[in-house]
Amino acid sequence: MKYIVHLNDIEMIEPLIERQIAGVIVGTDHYSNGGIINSSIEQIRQIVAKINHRMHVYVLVNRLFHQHEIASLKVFLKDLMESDIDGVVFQDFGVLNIVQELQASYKMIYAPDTLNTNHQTMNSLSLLGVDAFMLAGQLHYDEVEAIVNHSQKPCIVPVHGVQYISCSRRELLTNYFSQINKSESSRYQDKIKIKVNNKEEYSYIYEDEAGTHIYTTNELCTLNLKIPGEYGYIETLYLDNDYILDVIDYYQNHFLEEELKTKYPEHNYDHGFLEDGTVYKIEDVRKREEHEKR
Amino acid sequence: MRNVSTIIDGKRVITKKPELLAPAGNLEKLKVAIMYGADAVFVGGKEFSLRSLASNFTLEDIKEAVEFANLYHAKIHVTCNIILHEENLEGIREYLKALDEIGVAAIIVADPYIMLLAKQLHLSLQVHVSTQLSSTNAEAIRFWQKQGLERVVLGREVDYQDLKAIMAETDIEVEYFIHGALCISYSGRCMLSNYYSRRDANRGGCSQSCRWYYDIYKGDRKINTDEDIPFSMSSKDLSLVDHIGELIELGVDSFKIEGRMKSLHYIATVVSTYRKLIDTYCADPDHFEYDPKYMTELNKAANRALTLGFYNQKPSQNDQLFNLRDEHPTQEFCMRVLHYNPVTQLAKIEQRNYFKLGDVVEFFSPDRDNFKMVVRELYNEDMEKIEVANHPMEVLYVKVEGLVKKDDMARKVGK
Repeated sequence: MKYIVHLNDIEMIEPLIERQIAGVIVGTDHYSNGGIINSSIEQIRQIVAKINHRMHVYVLVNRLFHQHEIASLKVFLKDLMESDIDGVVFQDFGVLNIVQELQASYKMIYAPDTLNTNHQTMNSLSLLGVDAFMLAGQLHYDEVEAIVNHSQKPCIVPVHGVQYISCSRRELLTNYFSQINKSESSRYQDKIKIKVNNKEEYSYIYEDEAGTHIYTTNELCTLNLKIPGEYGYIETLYLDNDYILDVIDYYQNHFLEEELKTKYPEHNYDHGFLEDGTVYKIEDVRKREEHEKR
Repeated sequence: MRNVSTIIDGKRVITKKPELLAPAGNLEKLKVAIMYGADAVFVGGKEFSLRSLASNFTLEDIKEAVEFANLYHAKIHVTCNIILHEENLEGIREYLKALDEIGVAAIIVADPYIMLLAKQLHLSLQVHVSTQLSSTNAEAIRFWQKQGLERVVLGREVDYQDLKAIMAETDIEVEYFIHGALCISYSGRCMLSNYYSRRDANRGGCSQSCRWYYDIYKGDRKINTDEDIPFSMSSKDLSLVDHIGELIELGVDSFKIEGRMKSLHYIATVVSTYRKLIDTYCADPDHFEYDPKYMTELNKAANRALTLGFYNQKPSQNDQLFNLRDEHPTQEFCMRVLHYNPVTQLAKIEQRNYFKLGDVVEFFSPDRDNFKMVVRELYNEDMEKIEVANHPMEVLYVKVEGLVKKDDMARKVGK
C-alpha cells in the first residue's frame, strides 16, 4: 500500500519523502475544512517547489462553498493551475464544475467524508470527471473490500488517525460560551473536547471561519487489519511530528497494533466501523437497543 | 432576476406562484396535507429513504397517494435519499421504474448513482437533488443541471443574499426550506449518530445525538460547571413565515415544509397557514400587509421555539436550544370532523385526544378562519349524552354552533 499523509508541518516534508510517501494533502487558508497548515497560494507554491516532484501534492479545497465565496474560489482554483500541483481534494460539486470550466489539468479527488459508500456511486462520478475517491469513514471492512475491488478509479482508504464526525456552519462553541457567559478560545490549537453525558466517549471540537468541526479523539488504527486498496490515508490532525513518523514506519514495516500501543500507551485506538458496522432499519435499531440494555 | 408577476387591469399579480411542498409520514397525513392546501407532498418509500423511524409508504400506498393527489391536481415526490452502501444497491433499478409507472412526479435523491440511473432509464419522473448533498452555490447547481436533473433542494445554510444571487444566476428549479426542524451540521455530513449510537444517519437511522447533552473539557479542566446548562448542539426550528413575500418575489420554485415524522395536527396547521399566506400575497402583492396571526397559528403546532435559521445571518446562541425544557408540547389535537348537519348543528367527529364538556376547542379548516367554542354537548354513536371523549378514534357527536365541514379539525385550547 502507498500512503498519502495530511501535511501538518513544512518541516515534515523531507522525512516524508525519505519514507517514500506517495503524496501529501495540503490545507489552505480559506478553502479547507480540517486543514492543519492553512496555506496561501504563495505558500502552496513554496511547498510544491520544496517537494519538487518527489511526492504528489494534493490541495484541500473541501469546504462547502457559499455563493458569496465563489468569486474568490474561482481565482484560487485558477491560481492552482499555475502552481504545478497534482490534484485537488474536494466535496462541493461546485468546485468540480469550476475546475471543468477552467479546463484545469490537475486531478480531482472526491472526498466528502461521509458519502463515498459504494462502488456504483463512485463509478458514476468517474463518468462525470472525478479521478479518485477518498472512502467514507463509516464503512465496514467488507464494504471497503467490495468498493476497492469494483471501483474503476483509484480509492484512498483511511487507515490511521482521528476520524471526521461532523461539520457545522454554526459557531457552536462560541454560541454556547456566550450562553453561559464564559470567555474561552475555541481554536484547533486549544484541543477542546466534548464528552457525551453518561458515556466515557470524548471527541475533539474546534471552530474556524468555516464553522465548527468535530473529530474522534480515538485514532483509527488498521495495523492488524490488512486493509485492501492501493492507497491508504493517514490523518495527522492532533498528532505530533515524531509520533506521525513512527506511525508511518509501523505501517510500512507491517508492525502490529499491539506494538504501537505498547510504545504509545497514552493514545487510544479503535477500528472505526471496520469491524462493527452501523444499523439503520427500525428493527435493527430496536435489536441493538435491547442488546445494549442487557 | 426571474419574472414572477404581471400587471392585470393596472394591478400587479403574482403569476409564478411557488409550489407548497409538504411532508407526509402516512396516507392519512398525505391526504390532509393535500386537502389543507399542499401543491405537492413528499413521502418516503419503505426502501431507499431516510427517516426509517417514520411509517413510510409501500408501493401500493404510493399508488393510492398518486391517485388521491391527481384528484386535487397535486403531485407526489418520493424521497430516495439514502446514501447507498453496497448492500443497498440491489433493487433500486426496479424500484425507480415502479415509481415512474405509478405516476410519481419526482424523486428526491442524494446519491449520484441513483440520479444518473434514473436519467439512463429515461423515466418520466423528475429527479431532484436532495438537501442531503448540501448544495449551497450556483456552480454546484449548474453541475447537476448539466447532468439533466430538474431541481435542486438547497442546503439549509443558504441565506437570503446568497439565495438571491443563486436565483439570478441559475435557471433550474430551486427548492428552499421555509419551515421545520434544522440539522445542526451540514446535511449528509454528520456522523454524530454513527459514532455515538452506531446508527447510520445517512440511511435513516439518525439518533439526533446533536440534541443530547455534553460536557466540554480543555485539557483536564471541565469548562461547563454543574451550575451551567450543559452543552448541546440542538437548533430551534425554522420558520420563514414573515419572509414569504420576498421569497415569492425571488421566484423560488418550491417552498418546502420539513417533517415526515410530524403529526396530523402539525401538517394541517402548518400547510394551511402557508397556503393562506401565499394565496393572500400572490393576489395583491403590492398591498400585502403581514399579519402576525400567521405566526400565532404556526406556534400552535410548534413543539420547539422558532428561528430564522441562516436566513439573515449566521445563527447565534439565540437560535439554539441549550435546554430541552425549551421544547414544549403542541396544543392538543382533539377531533376531526367527519360530517356536519347544519340543521341539528351536530358534527360527527373522530376523537383524537382526550377532551370533555367545558373544554374550549378551536376549529380550523383549510379555507376558513378559526373559531373557538366551549364544548357543551357531547354524544356517543348511539346519541347518548356523555361527558368525556377518552377513546382514540371513537366516533362521537359534538354540538357546534359555527359552520364546520368534513375534514375540519379542532384543537383543545383551554378549560
